[in-house]
Amino acid sequence: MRESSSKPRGDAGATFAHTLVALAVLVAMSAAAYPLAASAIAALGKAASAAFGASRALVADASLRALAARVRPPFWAASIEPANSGDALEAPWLDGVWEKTAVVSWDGEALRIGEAEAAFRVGGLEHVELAWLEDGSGRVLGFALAFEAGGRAWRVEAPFGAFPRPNARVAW
Amino acid sequence: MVRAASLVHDGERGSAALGALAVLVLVAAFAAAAYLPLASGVRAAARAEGKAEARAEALDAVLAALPVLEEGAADGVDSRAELEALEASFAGALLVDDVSSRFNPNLIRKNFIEKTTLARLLKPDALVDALQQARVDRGLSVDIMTAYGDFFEAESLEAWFTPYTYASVNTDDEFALERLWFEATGDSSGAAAFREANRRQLEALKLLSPGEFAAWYGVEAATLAPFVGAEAGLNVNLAEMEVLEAALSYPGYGIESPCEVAESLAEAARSRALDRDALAATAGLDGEHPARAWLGTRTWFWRIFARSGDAWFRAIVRMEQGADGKPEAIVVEFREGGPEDDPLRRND
Repeated sequence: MRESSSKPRGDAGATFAHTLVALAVLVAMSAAAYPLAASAIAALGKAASAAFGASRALVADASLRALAARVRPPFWAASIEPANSGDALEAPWLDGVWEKTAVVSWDGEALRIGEAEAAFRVGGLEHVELAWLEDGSGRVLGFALAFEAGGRAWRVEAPFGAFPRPNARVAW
Repeated sequence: MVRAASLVHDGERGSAALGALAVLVLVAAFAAAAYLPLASGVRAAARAEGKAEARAEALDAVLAALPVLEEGAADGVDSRAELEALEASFAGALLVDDVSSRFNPNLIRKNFIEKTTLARLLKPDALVDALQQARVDRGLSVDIMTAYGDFFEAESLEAWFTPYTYASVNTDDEFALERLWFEATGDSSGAAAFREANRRQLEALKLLSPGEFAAWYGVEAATLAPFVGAEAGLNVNLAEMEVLEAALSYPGYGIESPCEVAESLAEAARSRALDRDALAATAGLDGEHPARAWLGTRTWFWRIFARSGDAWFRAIVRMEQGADGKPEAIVVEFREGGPEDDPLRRND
């Protein structure tokens, strides 16, 4: 306390002035750097959003392809009737068993990919459209999925692991 | 004064350095937070892209082999030399084998199992009546290891049997044919009509040629051709000797030494392509002999393993006659998997 009070007054003023100058310099530097930092932050945010979108798209892609590969109608089976296009696609012959069903559905918030009882959910997708992947003659060969994620459009074509015979269909 | 001022400047430099460090740390943390998902996303994208490219490359190789299979079949003979030439042209990236020149447990008659060398492949407590009933009750299956594991040992199933054959009215079980008809069409009355026609054929002890099949079965023949027909299923050029011996060992065929005939065929097929005439001469069985219901010179289902990088993909290709009468190869299965993972052993 005594030491402090014994300091010359000019010293204190100099410190305050220097602090003000330093602050002014900092403000000026910040003002100059702000647009750069802001654009860098925005770019990073955009890149992160795109990366998250891409990773969601890849999860949807990998899950749908893995499920479709498990749909294996025997070669003598008739083509699956593509009657339920829309918000849900259901295909028999999951793991080669007629009674087991592969399900792909969109409930407005998440894409469900899997079996009727146990499906994997993928969120963060927009403008989702489900359809059957067909050959030129209308034979169902797999699932098709279109959506937007991370600001870009994606399309997945996931063929079945085996293909039913052409020129014939049975209702499903 | 000078001393005091310099002290203050030193302190200010320290705070600025700390501040700069703090800003740097914040920027680094933010960059790291942004980088991690970016990096994992990029890695996942690269993996997915690599897998998709490998799949596309393997599928291209399989599709490139189809015209070669079609051309090879145009003369009515699929030979060992053609197969070896096809594999060589792909420099080891493609392995092709005949997957239909075996017995189909989905379809084979129960008395054929009982009365041929196939009987020794049955498990000790397995009954052929139960096998026949299981096919009717549970249906036919491509997964023969699961469906017929109660009746045959796994080693027998993987070496002697296959689910990849067309059904033949000359060699296959009437109830299995009815079941196949029902599974393929969903039409139970059509299946019953087909079985009735098949029963009349059996009562008449009539073996049908592919041409006669259409005349005998009428509209039912066209519905399921070529999935049900009268073609011989075993290609003598590529079938294993033991398989040929089993087919020839049925007592009703009256062949004295099935083993010798099978060995003659297998040995001849190793050195040259056997067409129908060469088959008849080598086996000593003319075209009317009932054993010829099994013996042919065409392969109806091929299995192709295509390698792309470190990944293997497996395709099953079936052959049929196109509308113009030319052989047509059609991919019926394509998925990831190599020779080591496949339930059916390769014939080398």
